[in-house]
Amino acid sequence: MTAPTLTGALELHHVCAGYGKVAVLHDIDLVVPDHGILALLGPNGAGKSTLLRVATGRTQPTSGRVVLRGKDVTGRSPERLARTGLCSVPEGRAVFPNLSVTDNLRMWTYRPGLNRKDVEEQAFARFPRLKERRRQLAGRLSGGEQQMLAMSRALTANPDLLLLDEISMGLAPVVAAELFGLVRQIADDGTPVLLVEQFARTALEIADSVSVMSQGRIRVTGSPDEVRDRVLETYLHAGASQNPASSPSM
Amino acid sequence: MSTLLALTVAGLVTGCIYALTASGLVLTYTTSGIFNFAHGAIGMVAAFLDWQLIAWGMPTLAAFLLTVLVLAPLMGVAVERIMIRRLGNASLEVTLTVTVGLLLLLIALADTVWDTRTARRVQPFFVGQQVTVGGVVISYHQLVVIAAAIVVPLALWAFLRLARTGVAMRAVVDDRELAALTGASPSTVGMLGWAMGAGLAGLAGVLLVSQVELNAITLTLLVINGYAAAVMGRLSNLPLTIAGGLLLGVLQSLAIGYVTISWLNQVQTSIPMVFLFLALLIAPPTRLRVGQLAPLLAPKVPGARQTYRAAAAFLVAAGVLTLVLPSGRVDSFTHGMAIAIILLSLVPMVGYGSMVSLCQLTFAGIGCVAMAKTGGSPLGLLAAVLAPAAVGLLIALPTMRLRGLYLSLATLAFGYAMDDNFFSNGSVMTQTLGLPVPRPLGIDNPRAYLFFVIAAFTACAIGILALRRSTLGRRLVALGDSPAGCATIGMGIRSTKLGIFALSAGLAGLGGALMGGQEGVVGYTDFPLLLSLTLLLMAVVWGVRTISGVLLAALFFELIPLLNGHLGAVGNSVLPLLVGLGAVSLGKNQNGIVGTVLQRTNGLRKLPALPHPRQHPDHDDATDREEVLTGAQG
Repeated sequence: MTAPTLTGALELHHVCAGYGKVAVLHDIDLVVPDHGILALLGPNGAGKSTLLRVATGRTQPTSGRVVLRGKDVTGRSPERLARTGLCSVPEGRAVFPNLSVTDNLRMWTYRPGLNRKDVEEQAFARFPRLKERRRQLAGRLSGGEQQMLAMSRALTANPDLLLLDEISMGLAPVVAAELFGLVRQIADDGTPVLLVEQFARTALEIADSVSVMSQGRIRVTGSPDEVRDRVLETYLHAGASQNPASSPSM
Repeated sequence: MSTLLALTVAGLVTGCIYALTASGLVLTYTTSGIFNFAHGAIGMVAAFLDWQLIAWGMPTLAAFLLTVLVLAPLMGVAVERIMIRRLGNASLEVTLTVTVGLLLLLIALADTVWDTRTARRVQPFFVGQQVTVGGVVISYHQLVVIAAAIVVPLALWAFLRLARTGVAMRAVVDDRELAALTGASPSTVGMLGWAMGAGLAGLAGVLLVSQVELNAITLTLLVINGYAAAVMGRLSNLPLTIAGGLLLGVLQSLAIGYVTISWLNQVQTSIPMVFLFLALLIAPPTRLRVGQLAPLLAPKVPGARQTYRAAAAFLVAAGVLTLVLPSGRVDSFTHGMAIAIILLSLVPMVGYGSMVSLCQLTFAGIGCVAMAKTGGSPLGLLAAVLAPAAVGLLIALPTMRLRGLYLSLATLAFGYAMDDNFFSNGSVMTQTLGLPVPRPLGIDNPRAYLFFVIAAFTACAIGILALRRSTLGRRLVALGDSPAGCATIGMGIRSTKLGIFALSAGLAGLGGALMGGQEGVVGYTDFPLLLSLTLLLMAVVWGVRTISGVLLAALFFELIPLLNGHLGAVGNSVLPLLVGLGAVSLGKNQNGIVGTVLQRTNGLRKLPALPHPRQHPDHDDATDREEVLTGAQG
């Protein structure tokens, strides 16, 4: 197991959060190591997306601290976090559907030190498909192409930390495998990654360490091998009332 | 032929101004998702500022540039910071009311600062200089307008396409959260959108001002004409919006030149509103929104027993009040209670069904006229209810598929057209003498009449609450919450919508008739559209979902002239200011004052029982709406 170092890329300390009177996260402690991929797994409704919302500043924690690269960033706005080097690809297609591909790439340049030309060159070099379609609206691209466009932000931004939320959702298995390969590559190039997935199998294959969440708490943390046998148990234990169909594809 | 050409050119020039103001409106709407009702008022204030700067001796061009490029955008920024930003994902009735409040506030402010009794004129640019093209005289000022209408949209287009901030503006429209995650600041972009929108409104106002007299209401309404153009562009498409503006200008100009129908004396000025109505009907239906978070805890609906007890207590108190009230106050109290009945008509429509009607006073006026024509017998009262109800049905039928903002705009267009063509029509009421209205049922004693109106209010309130508890009431709330949800469970929305329109209009008509009976004579200025907006604002600020909210709103409304009398000249500006503050406060208390108070007291009372919020089986089903929230997290 990669023991969490004292200063991870991102640390959540005793974080509680929710919507209105509804508490979703209960006293979360999580350290994203400063290298490699941490996969965050958990059944539907475990609070994974809320955890990401807190990490990116979209939801403010009701208590606790968020520390990015050793700096306390609790309460910072999402745009400020993004400019300081947090790159987050949210659930669904993280592109602007009514903007052309080049306009989308233009939006990636809000990260300081990036200009239009570099971003386009890097994105088109990695995904030639995007170059062919650069004048099209992003909403007209196929699901896989949209996800390529979204991932091109992660590639070009060279972020301090990359947060990915269910990137494989709704994609053909081949495309998903390709995406995960890309994530592995980004991580090998030195960018720490927090990968949130509902479906555990592929995530366990590429992750360096794994945390499992349910009902707003981190239940298990460990290496993929350690966690593998306990995931199903955690899922079922936590989601006893859940429809079996939504249990992980183990 | 040359007349046609001249009219067309004049129309194109006006159309250019409409196009400019409409593109500003579209810009703010797309970047912030809020339809700025006060857009016209911002243009109006800009025109006054321009006049003021020139009156202080500033050169015309400098005043023009300062107003359009600095002052108007600053106004937009201030509005965005103070009012709009706090609204977040507020419901339509709140966002509409807040900007309506801003509109009323700006008009009142302009009337206070720039005394209405002084006539003001602003000279056009290049006075007296003109060219003749093909037999048509075009002034330099008109050329300036045309140039502005060509240059500004092109600049806007270039900005939105080529500048990164422009791209970010479009990105924020697309996906606000994702824009923030890429590092663009949605709030800065929103502020910029409002600044640019206000700048465009200001440009339109300043260009218009030399054509008409400088008057707050006239100017505001003129700029409002741009709404029609904006709707033609479906509030999102700039080229279509501009085309709509030009078309509207030309149509209006041709109508002024050629249409002479004596009984429709003002049909020319109504053209924009007819255009708006048609544009709404032709525009493709709005997509049904799938269920959303219920952001508010709706106030509890009292049960039948509670209602009857409260009503009995209210009637006893009212009876005592009727007897002891000083004679000088009886009339204004009666008027206030009649207003309360009109406001009551907003409760099922706006409060329960979330359909914001902007022409409730128009229905009241129709009711009043209907009774005046049929006499004060029970038959007359029936006519006062049925006539507006029938008109309400007529309005509801074509607008059936409209929702939200579009529905509100349709009622606005209707009210505006009725202002010009019905109430000021000689065959409805003579302009000098007005229309005598009999006391219903021959109740001539003022105190007895007061009690009669109070009793009518009480009966209607009981009826509304009974309606809310009935199946129709539940359907209404469901319709307001999620039309898509209604469709999936096979619930037809047509009859519910039609029924509520008719009911609400009929109720407003009754209130109008009772109000007319108190006044004895009504004039054509007694039912203006702007007053409809004021009343709506009052109702929403005090709480349009509760009976007590609209009652307090009506009484407060009646208090304003009294206070004005005490405060003198200052009163005229202090009270609109209060109205404006009320509008600002809505951002926080979206259930209105009464709703907030109810929530606080309920919260205190229910706190110990929190783990089992449903332990009171006699509560209405709407009380525990907050539980819906639990479906929110990912």
